[in-house]
Amino acid sequence: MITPSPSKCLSILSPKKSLAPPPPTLFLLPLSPQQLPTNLSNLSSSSPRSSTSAKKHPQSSSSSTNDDIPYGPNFLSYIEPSPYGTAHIIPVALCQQGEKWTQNDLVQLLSLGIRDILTVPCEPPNVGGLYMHLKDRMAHPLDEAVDLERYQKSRIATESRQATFTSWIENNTYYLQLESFSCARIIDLLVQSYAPQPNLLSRPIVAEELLATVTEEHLSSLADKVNDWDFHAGLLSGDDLIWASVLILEHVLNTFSSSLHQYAMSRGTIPNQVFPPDVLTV
Amino acid sequence: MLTVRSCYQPTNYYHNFRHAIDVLQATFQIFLLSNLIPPLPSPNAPVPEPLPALLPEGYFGPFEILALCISAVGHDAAHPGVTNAFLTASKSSLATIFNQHSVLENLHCLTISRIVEERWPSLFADHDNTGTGDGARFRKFILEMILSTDMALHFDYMSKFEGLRNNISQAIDEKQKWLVGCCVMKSADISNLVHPLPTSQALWPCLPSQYYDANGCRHVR
Repeated sequence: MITPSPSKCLSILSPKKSLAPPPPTLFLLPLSPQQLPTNLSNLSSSSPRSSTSAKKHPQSSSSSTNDDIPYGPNFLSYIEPSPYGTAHIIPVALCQQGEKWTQNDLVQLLSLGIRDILTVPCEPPNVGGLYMHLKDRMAHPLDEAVDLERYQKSRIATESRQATFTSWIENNTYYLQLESFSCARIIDLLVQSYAPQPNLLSRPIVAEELLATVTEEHLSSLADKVNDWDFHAGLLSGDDLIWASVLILEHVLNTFSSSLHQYAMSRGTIPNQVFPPDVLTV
Repeated sequence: MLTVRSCYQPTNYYHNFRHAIDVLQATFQIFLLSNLIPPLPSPNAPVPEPLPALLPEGYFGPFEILALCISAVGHDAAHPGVTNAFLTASKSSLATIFNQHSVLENLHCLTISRIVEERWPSLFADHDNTGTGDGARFRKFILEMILSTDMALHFDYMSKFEGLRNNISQAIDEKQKWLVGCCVMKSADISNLVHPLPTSQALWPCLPSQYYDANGCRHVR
């Protein structure tokens, strides 16, 4: 995963007035509960360049070694005075999986203008700040001054803002610079972020995820349970949940094979791996 | 199915992969009790009893049955464990993207349709390049079924169901088929309550627990 330097990130999120405004951007800010200041005014009163008092997020270590602007809540104080403010920037707290956030922590996040917490993209240990990046030669959706003005005004008029944002989502030509996010649209990032597995659509199924071998007797027993209204499939455990769904879907396809023959379903194999012929995989 | 399972939050007490399979089984049971499909083959498979069918004849064919099964599996995919009201009130980015309408259901639709596109592409394939073939119809049907699970629209659907029940003798059209499909989807989604008591009560505490966990966040926001 590429970690952009904080200064590079800042130059895109907070451009000079003469430059084109940035596109609506998700800015993922590595944060830990321990880092949070009491409020944003504390940030403003501190010198941006010397704002190292907050604990550094473990994931920001690689970024800050090459740049003296640290990622963390102080980074918001750089973005705030931007001529475009946070009109285009949705700050999202990026935290490590398993971190505990109290109500008080969430209140502090809100005071920073952060309304979303993502835990998912933190798996790589060296993630810094992430941002939506404008690819070369791509058209800029908000490069007209009138559009920018409309967009900023629409932050007050919620409906307009939504319309503008939705329109941008549908037509955007921006891509994440990060290779680990293969998605091309901001909506994919959000969806992947809310789901527990990042990049679930782009990652291959790995051998470790394969189900354990099951016998035909076990599958017959499972079929009996699924056939029984008195049995609650929600009480099945582990891999049996998947097997139950596979049995039902296969049964539908087999029963109506004359009509549904084009929708063949496979129990699957991992490419380039050889399994014993009696091992069933999903 | 591994991919589908991975997009359900295991930390959710209720809206997890277990619930998805529960709803799939309930959907299958409705088809079973309507004699639309035989039981799963096994040495002990029950002989279908001559009971009155749950569903009227002629509404469901292979297409609708398969699509409803897939809808059941994906109807809560990527559920974050909070309600639509929470996402909207907290002005979450997700609510903004989906214009605060059926936010979760739109998320589920998007997630499962992307998974199908990636893992089972033949299902949504546009074989005749018209954009109106079976693939497009499959997609539209699945999305319609999942969107109907938004409880904010529950009474709208109940009113439609009532209207349909009063005009059941009319010729069956596509719109009616889809409406009955929504009825099956919604019934299966909340079917936990009509299981026999010993089996259903095991899951009773799950939904309150899930929202109790989110309660702290809700107070803050």
